[in-house]
Order: sequence, then C-alpha cells, then structure tokens
Amino acid sequence: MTGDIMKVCAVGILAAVVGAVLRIMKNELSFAVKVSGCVMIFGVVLVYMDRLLEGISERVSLGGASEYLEIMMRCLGVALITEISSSICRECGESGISGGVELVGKLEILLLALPLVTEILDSVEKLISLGA
Amino acid sequence: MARKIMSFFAALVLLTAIFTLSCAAEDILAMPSGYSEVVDSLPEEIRDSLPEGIEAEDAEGFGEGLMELTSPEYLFSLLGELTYDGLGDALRLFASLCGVLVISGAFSVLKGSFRSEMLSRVLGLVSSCVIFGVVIDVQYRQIETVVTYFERLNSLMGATIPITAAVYAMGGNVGSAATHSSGMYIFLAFSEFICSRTIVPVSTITTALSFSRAVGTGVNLQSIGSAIKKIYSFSVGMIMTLLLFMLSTQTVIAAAGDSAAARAAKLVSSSVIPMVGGAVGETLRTVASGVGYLKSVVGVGGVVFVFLLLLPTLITLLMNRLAFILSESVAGLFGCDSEARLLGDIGSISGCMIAVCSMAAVMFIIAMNIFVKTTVAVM
Repeated sequence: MTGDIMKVCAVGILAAVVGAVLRIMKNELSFAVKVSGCVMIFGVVLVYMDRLLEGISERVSLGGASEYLEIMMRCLGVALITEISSSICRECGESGISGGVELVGKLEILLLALPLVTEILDSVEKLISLGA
Repeated sequence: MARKIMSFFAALVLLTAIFTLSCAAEDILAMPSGYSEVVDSLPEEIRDSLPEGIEAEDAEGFGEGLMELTSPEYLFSLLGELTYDGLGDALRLFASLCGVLVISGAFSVLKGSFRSEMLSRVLGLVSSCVIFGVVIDVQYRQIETVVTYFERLNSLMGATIPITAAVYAMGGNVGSAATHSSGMYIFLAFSEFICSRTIVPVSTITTALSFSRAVGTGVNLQSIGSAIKKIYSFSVGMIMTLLLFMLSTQTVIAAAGDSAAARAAKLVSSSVIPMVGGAVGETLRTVASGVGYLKSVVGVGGVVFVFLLLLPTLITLLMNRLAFILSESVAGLFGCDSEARLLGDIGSISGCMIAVCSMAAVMFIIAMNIFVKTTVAVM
C-alpha cells in the first residue's frame, strides 16, 4: 500500500514536471502527457475504490441494505469519473466542456437514484393511505 | 284443635325449608355473559399464551387464571419473549443503518475532495435519500403497529363497557353504572376519533419535515416539527387528564348517591318486612361481597388485558427508538451531520408515538381502577 502511493505520487509529479517542460517546448505534447498522467492515477483510484467497496459490501449485505449500497456505489463511481473528466477539461482550458461534463454527471447520478426515489414515494403513498 | 294448628304450622315450616330455593351469592359469581367477547377481542398471539383459567365461566376460576396471569413468572417470561423478539428486529435495523452510514461516511470524505460543489451536494442528497429509504419503511411499519394497537384497544374497551355496567347494576350502583358507562364511551370516542385518527397525519408530517431538513433545502423547518410534536403530546395528555377528572368525580358522587339509596331501602325492608326482614340485610351483604369479588376480577382482568395489548407495541417502539438513537451517535462519529439530524428527528417521532399509546392505555387502566374501587351500594 505504501509502495503504491509512492508510485502514484511519483507518476503525478513526473507528469506535472514533464507537462510543464513540454508546455514551453512543444505545447501539443504537454496535453497528452497530462491526460496520460490523469488516466494512470484514475486507474489507481478505481483499483483502490474496488477494494474498498468490496470490503464494505460484504459487511453491508449482512445488514440487508445491499440494494441501496449498489445505488450509492454507482453514484460515487459516476461522480469520480465526472470529477476527473471535468478537471482534465478545465486543465486544458475548456471550461465550457468541463461544465457540460459536470452537468451530465449530475443528471446521471439523479437517474441512478431514481429507483430509490420511486421506492420512497411508494412508501409515502402507503403512509398516506394508512392515514386515510 | 291446638294440635292440628301446631301440626299445620310445623308442616308449613318444613315445606318452606324444603322448597325454598337456595339464595346465595354463588349465582352472582358466574362471569357476566359477553365476557368471552372481551377475551376474543385480544390478538391471537396474546390469546394463545393466556392461562386456561381465563376462559372459565365462573368468577373463581377466572380469578385463579388472573392470579396466574399476574404472577411474576408469567409476566417476566412474556416480557422476556417480547424483548427478545423486539431486540432482534432493532438490531437488524441498527445493522442496516450502520452499513448505510459507513458508505455515507465514505461519501462525506470523498465528496469533500470534489471541486464541483453541486456534485458534492448531489452526492449528499443521494446519501440522505438512502437513509430516508431505510427509515421510511421502518416508520411505516411503526405507524401501522400503532394504528392496529388503537383498533384493538378500542375493540377491547367497547366490549368491556357493557360488562362493567352490568356488574355495577348487580351491586345496586345504578347511577354509577350510567355515569361510568357514559364516561367510558367518551373515552372510547376520544381514543377512536382523536388518538388513532391524528397519530398518522402528525407522524407523517413530522417525518416529512425531518427529511426536508436533512436534504438541506435551506429552509429549517425543524422547529415547526418539534412544536407540532410537543403541542400534540401536550393536548392529548391534557384532554385525557380532564376526562379522567370528570369520570372520577362523577363516579364518586353517583356511587355515594347509590349507597345512600341502597341503605335506605335496606332499612325500610328490615323494618317493614316481618320475620324475615332482618335476614334481608344479611342476604344483601352476602350478595354484595360476591359482586365485589366479581368487580375485582372483571376490573383487574380489564387492566391486565389493556396492559397485554400495550406491551408488544411499546417494546417495538422503544427498541426502534433505541436503534435510531444509537444510529444517530454512529452518524455523528462518521461526520454525517445531516443523516444524524434525520435519525435523531425520527427517534423523537417514535417517542411521541410511545407517549400517545401509553397515555391511552393509562386512561383506560385508571378508568378500570375507578370501577374496581367504587364500593358496592348494597354493602
């Protein structure tokens, strides 16, 4: 674990330094280096998240909230992908595209949470019928 | 001639002794007809666990069953069984909430690192919705339990009121019978039309207000929710206190009037009726002791049945409240402040339901105690 974080930090610093140098010499290559660095770090994030979620899902499935866990995990995954993508776009100076990516990400999260909201509304309807 | 007259009177006395029906308090000690309906109105799971003596047709057998029902062994075994079942459900609820709170805690940690504030807020909304999804299902089952409890309580007391009126009348407490019955019907109307019909809207509204606070809409409606709960509990308690005051004072006055009338009638019968007038007083005293015993078993039986109805509901609500309080602490530990507030508010709604259910049961228990303590008029 400690070795992994050292490697990630090394990759991040290397990508940033190389990117800064290439911006002076060859600007078009600088973007490619930055994106490559982000993708590699994002890959490590996904591996870490997978391990974390696997550990938590084993515990939560005992409590009977596994369907909610799946929704939360998907939302978290979409949020991470959206955040990294919008950061890359912002880094490249494309704030408009970054905003568009964030908007789609939010809508995707809301769509993923739609079954949960439907279930809540069904429970509310049952409560109202109980009162009637 | 004198011998014939003496023989005639001797034969008359002998025949009178042979053919006089035995008038004793034994017939008084039969359980009033319709008492089986009171036992039948209990839920099946409680009825199956009652001792055999409860279904006896005579007061003595019923009294023995009641002694067994109120024994420490029976009560503690019933309490243990209900607590064990309730604790299992509460622990399952706590485990579900803890699992979701762990994920929410991870959410809180990760969303703090997002540059986009809107993305963090959407994740927070999803986290609150998940908690609410777990909670609202439990809340629905709690409210359903409370509604069922009030239906059963009203059915039980509706079957008990004619029985108490009949027992009052048997003891000469005619005025008390009318007063007590009318008071109990008012209690029943209050329980049916105010408690059981208002608990659902109040619980639903306060749950909705808690959720709106948890999702952070920017409008803090928590004070309104707290005010609704406090005003509701206070109003119900106040009305119950007034009704009990009315019932106890009117019953005492009516009982005093019945007692005075019965004593006057006893005096007149002792003075006017020749030969057997003095025996009337002794007979009435025997009848009164029988009626007093019947009153005790009917009254205590009613109290015990109300308690048996209340106990499962009370334990369920208390255990769920415990689960919510513990989950609130866990949420605070994980830094999930909005989730902690939501769980705390839901726990306090459970407290409100506990208060209303307990107050309704106590109201009927005190009314039955008034019935037991009212002295028999013909004593």
